[in-house]
Amino acid sequence: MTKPPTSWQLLRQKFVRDRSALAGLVILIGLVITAVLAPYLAPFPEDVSATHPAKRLRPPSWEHPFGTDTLGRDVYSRVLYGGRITLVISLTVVGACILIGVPAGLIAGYCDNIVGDVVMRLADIFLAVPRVILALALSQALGPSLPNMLLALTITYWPWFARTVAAETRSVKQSTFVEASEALGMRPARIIFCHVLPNVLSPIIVRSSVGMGFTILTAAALGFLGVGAQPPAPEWGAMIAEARLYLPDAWWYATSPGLAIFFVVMGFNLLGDGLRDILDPRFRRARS
Amino acid sequence: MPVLEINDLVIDFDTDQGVVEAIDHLTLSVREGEILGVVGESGCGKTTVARSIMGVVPQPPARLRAGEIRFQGEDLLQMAEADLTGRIRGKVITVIPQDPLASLNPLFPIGVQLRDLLKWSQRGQRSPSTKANRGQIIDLLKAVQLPSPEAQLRKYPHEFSGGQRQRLLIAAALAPNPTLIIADEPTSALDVTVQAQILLLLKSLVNERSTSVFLITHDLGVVAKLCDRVAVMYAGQEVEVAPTAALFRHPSHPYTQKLLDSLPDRQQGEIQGIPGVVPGLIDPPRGCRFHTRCEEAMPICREQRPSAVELFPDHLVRCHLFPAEEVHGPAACIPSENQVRRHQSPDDENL
Amino acid sequence: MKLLVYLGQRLMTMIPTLVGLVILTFFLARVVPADPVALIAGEGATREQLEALRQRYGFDQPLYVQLGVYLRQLAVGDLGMSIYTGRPVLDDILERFPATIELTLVSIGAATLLGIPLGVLAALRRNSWLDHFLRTFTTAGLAITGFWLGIMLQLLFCMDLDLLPLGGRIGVPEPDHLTGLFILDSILTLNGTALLSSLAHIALPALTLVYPAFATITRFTRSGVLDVMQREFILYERAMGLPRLLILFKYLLRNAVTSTVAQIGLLFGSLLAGAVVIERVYDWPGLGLYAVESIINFDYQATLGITLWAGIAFSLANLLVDIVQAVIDPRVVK
Repeated sequence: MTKPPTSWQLLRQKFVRDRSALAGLVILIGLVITAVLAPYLAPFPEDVSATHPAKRLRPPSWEHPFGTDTLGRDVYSRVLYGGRITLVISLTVVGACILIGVPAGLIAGYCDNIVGDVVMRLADIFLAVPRVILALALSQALGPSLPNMLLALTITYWPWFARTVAAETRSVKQSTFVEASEALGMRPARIIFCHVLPNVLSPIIVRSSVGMGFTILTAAALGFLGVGAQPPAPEWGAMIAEARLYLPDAWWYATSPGLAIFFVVMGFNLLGDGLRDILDPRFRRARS
Repeated sequence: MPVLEINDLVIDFDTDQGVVEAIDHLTLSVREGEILGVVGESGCGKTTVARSIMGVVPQPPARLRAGEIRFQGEDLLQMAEADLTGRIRGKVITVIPQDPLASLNPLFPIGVQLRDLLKWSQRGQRSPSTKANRGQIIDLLKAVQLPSPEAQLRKYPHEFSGGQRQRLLIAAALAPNPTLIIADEPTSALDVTVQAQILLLLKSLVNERSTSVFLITHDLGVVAKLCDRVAVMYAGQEVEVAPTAALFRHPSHPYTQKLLDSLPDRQQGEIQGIPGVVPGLIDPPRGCRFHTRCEEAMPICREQRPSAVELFPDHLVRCHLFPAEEVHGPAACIPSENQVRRHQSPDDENL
Repeated sequence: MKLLVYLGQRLMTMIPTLVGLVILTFFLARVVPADPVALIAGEGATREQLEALRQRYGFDQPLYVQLGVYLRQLAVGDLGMSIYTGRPVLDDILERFPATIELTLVSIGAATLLGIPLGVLAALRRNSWLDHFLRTFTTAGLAITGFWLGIMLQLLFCMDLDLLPLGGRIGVPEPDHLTGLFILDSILTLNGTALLSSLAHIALPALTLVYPAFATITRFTRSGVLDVMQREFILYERAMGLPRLLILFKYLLRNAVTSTVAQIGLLFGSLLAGAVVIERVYDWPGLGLYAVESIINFDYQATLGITLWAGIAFSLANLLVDIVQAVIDPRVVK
């Protein structure tokens, strides 16, 4: 009889078979590559800051696939560079949220005392206001700039991670094998690390992928409203805000950054969906 | 004519890991007014058989390869879905499921659910008014000995105890006065103390009405208390079918003997299990599926599936120890002295 | 009765959260900016002007005194004066609230009416062309930025096709203000032109908000139905001969929509957030526009007021959702 496939092999098999998850992964790899190689892929890398007023608002052509903007800059190059900003934003914010939210959630979920309560209350407060509004107010108060926007986005999103992790921790804590470990005298830190964390891993992964998409959308909205990366930085949301004034004639200026946002977020969402399909049922089965 | 006849049923399941040959040429029957016990370990296919009688096995992933299930002469497997829902299910064949909490809808009071079940069990008749139904439901609840039935109608399933929920399901199963009840391990989810009550209740109600019962269980004690005849299943095949007393008195198939041997009250000394494990059904053993664990296995067991042989009156066995050609009638087949002595015990008379 | 107790419990947990929110927004405005007065006064303000402002707004008092003053004002419903409009913030908010509520209600309503039936259909016809189309369509819906979609719709319908108005809430004189909701008021006062104009103006903003909301509702309904379809009680109901339509519409649906109902509460929050940018794009005179203007103009009283209002609205919406869930699922109220 042949050896049954290991769980990792099964996982890889299922992932490859899920075409949309694969598509999502491909899109994201594309994003990373274009972001990293932007200086080489962009035909006009200097257009991040340089201006050519003579060439303003030219329609798409071979030289300028996405046309030029109001200052004569090549929109295509700026969109590519904007991908760098997008990547930085999503990685930084979600990374920071994980660093803050996961420990907070673990503590809140595991400790049945006042510490856990306080953390959850704190999370609830941040969750009481829609993210854009709070992030907007925070960004403005701190002063519009990219780092401040990153801070604002992190502060408004970590509660989601904390809450998810806390809920999972609470349910794992009630499972029999954790009860047994506690009865055997295992220290809480060790229980959390060895038992709770592996089970909590899959919801974190799924939420991270979806969260990156969500962060990009929120960041674009903030960029649209004028807080966040300041001109001349080619942030996609800010580009759309600028482009809006020149509709309907310079339609290419508003369309391309929007499409870029759409593809990137789509990639994250597809990946997240695929990961959820693959990871969640498997982990649930393993736990029961 | 038997109420239910399962003839040569073959069912496969298509899974990621391969094709599971779940049911292999199964032949069973249930007679009028009798309680047939179907015994076997987990995974032997008992629940699959029950579900295929009701027609609720999803195809795919299941594939019905051969066989028929005749209920009062009609093949249920060939019946249209509308027919099954309209004439059979909940009307002449009803179900007592294994897990009463999971089988009741958590968001509706039991009065509502029972009323709907009752309404749709009136085959083709115009449904009586709500008042009449309510009275019928209360009578039913009284029949299953549920205290203060009027107050219970408004409660939700999670507000009852396990035993009470099972009584509700028994009430629902009996309400349409069915010809056949399929009971899938009706007491597995209950405490041991409650089990006995429920079993006695079920037996008395069923005997009153001469309803036939297809009773699935893994508990030989339940079989002894309740069943008129027993069928022993192993890995998707039936291996021995006999009246209950006869099965306990002279179990003839090696698997049956091992099963009875492993009952604690038959032990003297260490508890005997059955060596080996139940084979996986993706690439099942050829021939007799028990041959991998059978002490009496012979070369022919690996190649050919044994045919059913009537060893004693109404006592069928599928085993190459009793080859069809050598058996010409009940008198011609007498098990060896060794076999009889090994498996009789002084307690036999107390069954 | 148990329901009222549950309602009471939820209110009790809501209040500390809101108090926390108040304190948070307070610190947001006073502590976070390096010098809040300088922000308000803008560049080029002289020291005397700054001092005067500081005294006027009580910034020279110690922090806890300021907090006390703020809380006391809140208790009587005084949200302060808006620097930008010169009017009480509360008045500003109340005036603009109906516009946002109308947009939100229309959007959630449309998204639910479309989303639940389609989600059920997608689950029943799993892996059919309809299911695949809906899954792609909804995935796209969650990836599109609201403001970009709004701009594209404006481009198409208003600028190129000239079918719908570009912005604003109504193009003819407003109907009599009975509720402040123009569509409702037009119907109630039998004002046909106002009704048509309101509908034409709300069409695109609502469409922009409906798309992602519909996407969420459809997906959750679909997965809810798929999940419930496999449960034991559905199997039992089938085995006992209950007709398929009865099982579907009575027994299955109620179990399947519980997760969707929870999402609708969250959607309310995201619609409030989405309104912020959508109202900017469409010039919709609601709270979102007011929020953006206040924040950008450093109108901190208004900003605080808006944040608080948003928090309360969102919390109440979630409370309502919890109540609905408790009604649907009696196991919630133990």
